[in-house]
Amino acid sequence: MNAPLPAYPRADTAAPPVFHEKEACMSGPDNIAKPKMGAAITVRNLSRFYGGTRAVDGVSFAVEAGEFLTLLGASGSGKSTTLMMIAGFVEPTAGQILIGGRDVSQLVPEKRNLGVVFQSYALFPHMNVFDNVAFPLKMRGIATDEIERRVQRTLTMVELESRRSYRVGQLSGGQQQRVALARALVFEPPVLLMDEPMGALDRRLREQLQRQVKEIQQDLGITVIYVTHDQEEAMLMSDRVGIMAEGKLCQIGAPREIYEAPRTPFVAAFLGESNFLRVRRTVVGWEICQENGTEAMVRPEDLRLLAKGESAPLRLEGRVRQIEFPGGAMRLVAETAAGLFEMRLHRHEATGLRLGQQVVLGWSDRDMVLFSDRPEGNA
Amino acid sequence: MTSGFLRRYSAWLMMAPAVLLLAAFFIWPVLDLVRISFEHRDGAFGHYQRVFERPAYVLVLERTFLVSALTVVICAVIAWPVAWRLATASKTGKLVILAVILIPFWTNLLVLCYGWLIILSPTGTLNAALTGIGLIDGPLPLSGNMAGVLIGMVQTMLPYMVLPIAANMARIDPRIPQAARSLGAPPLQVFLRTWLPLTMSGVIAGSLLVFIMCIGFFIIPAILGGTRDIFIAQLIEMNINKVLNWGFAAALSTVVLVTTLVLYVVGVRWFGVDALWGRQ
Amino acid sequence: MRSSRAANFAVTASVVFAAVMMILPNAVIIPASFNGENYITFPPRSLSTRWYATFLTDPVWRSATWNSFVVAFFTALAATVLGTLAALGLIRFPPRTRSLMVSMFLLPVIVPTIISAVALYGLLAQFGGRGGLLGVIIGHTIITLPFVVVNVIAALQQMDMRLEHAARSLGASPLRSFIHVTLPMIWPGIAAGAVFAFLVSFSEIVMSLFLTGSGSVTLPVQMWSGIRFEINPTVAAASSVFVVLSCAVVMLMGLLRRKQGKAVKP
Repeated sequence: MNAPLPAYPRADTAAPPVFHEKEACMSGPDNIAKPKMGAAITVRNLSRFYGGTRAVDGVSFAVEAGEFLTLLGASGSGKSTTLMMIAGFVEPTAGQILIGGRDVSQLVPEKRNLGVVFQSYALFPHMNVFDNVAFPLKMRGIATDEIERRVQRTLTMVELESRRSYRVGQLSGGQQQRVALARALVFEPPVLLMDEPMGALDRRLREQLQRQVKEIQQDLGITVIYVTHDQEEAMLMSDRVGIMAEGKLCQIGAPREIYEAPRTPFVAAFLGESNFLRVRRTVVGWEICQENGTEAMVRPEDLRLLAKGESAPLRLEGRVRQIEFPGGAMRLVAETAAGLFEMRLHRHEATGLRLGQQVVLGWSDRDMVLFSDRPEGNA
Repeated sequence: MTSGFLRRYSAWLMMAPAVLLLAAFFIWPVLDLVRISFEHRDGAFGHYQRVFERPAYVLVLERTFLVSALTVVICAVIAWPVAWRLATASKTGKLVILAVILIPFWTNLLVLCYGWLIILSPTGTLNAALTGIGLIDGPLPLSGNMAGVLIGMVQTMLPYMVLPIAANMARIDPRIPQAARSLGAPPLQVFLRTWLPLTMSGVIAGSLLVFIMCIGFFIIPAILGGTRDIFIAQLIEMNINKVLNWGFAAALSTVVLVTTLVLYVVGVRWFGVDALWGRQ
Repeated sequence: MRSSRAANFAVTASVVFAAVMMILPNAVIIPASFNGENYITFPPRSLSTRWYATFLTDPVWRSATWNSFVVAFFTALAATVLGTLAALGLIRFPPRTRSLMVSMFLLPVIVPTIISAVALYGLLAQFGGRGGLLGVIIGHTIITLPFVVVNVIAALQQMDMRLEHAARSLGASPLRSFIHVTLPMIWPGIAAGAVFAFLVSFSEIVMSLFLTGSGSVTLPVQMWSGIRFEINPTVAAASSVFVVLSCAVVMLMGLLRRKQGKAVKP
């Protein structure tokens, strides 16, 4: 699949092709030329407390019309509760939700006009595919022939027109997911909320559907707020990602921005692999230290093995602890003075390396993220 | 604002009609009954003194609790093997056993008592059969006394003992007794050290339930029992309808009520007694 | 090996004993009801349908049967409406709170009927409401309410409550989401509760003994006096009505349970 890599790959050249592709849509909604049906969403200081537990604690963010925002976090981080508050199923303890400039905080769910795709779909088991998709149109009192036309169109969009009279139980997981999507889109809501929509699907199907959802979103120009715990899914699909933990929004930004400039060690560790250490600035460059100094992080793929006599802005001696091959790149774990360090190697590079062997790791200061000189806390 | 109120309290509002009905026609009158029980010219506990000091009434209390306890024990002894069969039977077997065990649950209590009366009375089926084959000379006294009451109570209460034990058994991992066997325990030890302790909470739940229901029984002792050895419920009925002593009836009711509620709270809190209704 | 065979035999013996005990009183009723003699026996000495004739023609028995039907019908109606509403409210609470509340709703079946009957008798007597059918219906509704609540809650628990959320997000009002989504999925549970409430009310005796008056005697009360105060074999004929009714209800409940299982399955 991948083209052969240079012997000592650097972070910027080693990025997989898809990463570059993402840049096109990453730069934000303002260069999307398509006519948009999406609406902007603003969430201000949104909180939900259950007794003493703060499920969501003062979350604020703004989503532009037509943007794809993912809330990423572990279970219990408050991401689903945030989504359910926007949908209107959970009443906020405090805060405001504006959709298209209108405050909807006091509005019942059915008046908010949002498409919601639920975790495990929540398709109506007593209705067939057509009736499921037609449901929101029936609730809006739309004429039968118009319903027929619009359901047909939407089912064609998700490639399920041949399954219109199937019962929900006769469909595969992926098909059910697409019915749920069709049902949430058929009434052309300006906003689509998706709560772990791919959670129940296997990996291959998930990738296929991710692409399909993304395409549909861009075709329709709809605003999407997507909730997932899968970081790869979040990075792949979103214009921006919001990382949530313990009810708070830790950082929000374009996937690459968060990956390359995480604001806290937590975000760094959550999104991708990371090696932590402490560094101090010297007259000539950088020095790795044990106690004082600034907390820093470097990604495994930004590390390289230094040959004898070769120099790098930062270097660290270590001993090989583990060499693993999870498929793709080799993973090397070295024991260093700063703790265990993980790095990626090309297969050919790893030949000849033995456990216990002394190695020197080197990296550029450009690839290193410093933490302590930035303010911690909310975005 | 009104819609916000409706939204926030919708769950309470939906419960309101049922709660109001129960409050007005169940909780309030029962509390009123408790209040009446403390109205006596010799002080608040006058009625209770009578209940606990007159030998005739103490005897009724003792009889009710004793026969109820006996019913619990007999039910437990019969129910355990039945529950075991139920837990280990095939799907059809389960259905058949369950159908048979649940008969009293579905049948009118009067019909059951009447059926027993036909079988157990001095001229009834059983006595006729036994005299017929020459096993006994005169009819056995099987109805109009405690024997009849006990038979009727055991029959009607058996489902309430079998179901909690069976539910409990269904949750036991069959590998636990297997493990005990593999570790060298002989069958009796396997039974004593795995099955019995593991099913104890089901037995206790069933026992509490059966006991609670027994101490309030009225119909069975009234039809199958004698006219002199009566239960608390009959004493209550007599004081309402014949003696017209409401205060005394209220005191008796309160004694039964408090016993029932204490046992129910214990059962709900520690043995999941209320789960039985959710599961049937 | 021998001990386990003995244990197996003991188990089988107690199961058979229990089964005989369960079946016996029911089994003698119907044959005994076709008895031709003036007193009841099993096996019957001579066969006749005279007790059925009495049961069907005697105005006392007829009015008692009619009263029972009226009471059971309105009880089932009231208990089903109130109980279903209560269950729909209860399901919205978190499981722990809910189970506590459900055990409160179960109190009318836990508190001995003799006590709730005496208490309600006292209350109705104060306000002169004793003796009419309305009092009996209220009393029976109290007793049957828990069964409806439990049945409907069981159905609701099988249903994915997020389906209601889905309906709301798609533009359905709470009422329409109930009619189009919730009701089609839980109606067998509601029906089972209603059928059960009907049977319990139709067979109820203790409440009825206290609350009925001369004009509102129900069938079980009539049977009660038939057993207690006169040796009247018409009771056997009436009993077989209950046996048949119970069988019908059991089958109906089985059917509804299967329907409930299908209703919530995709």
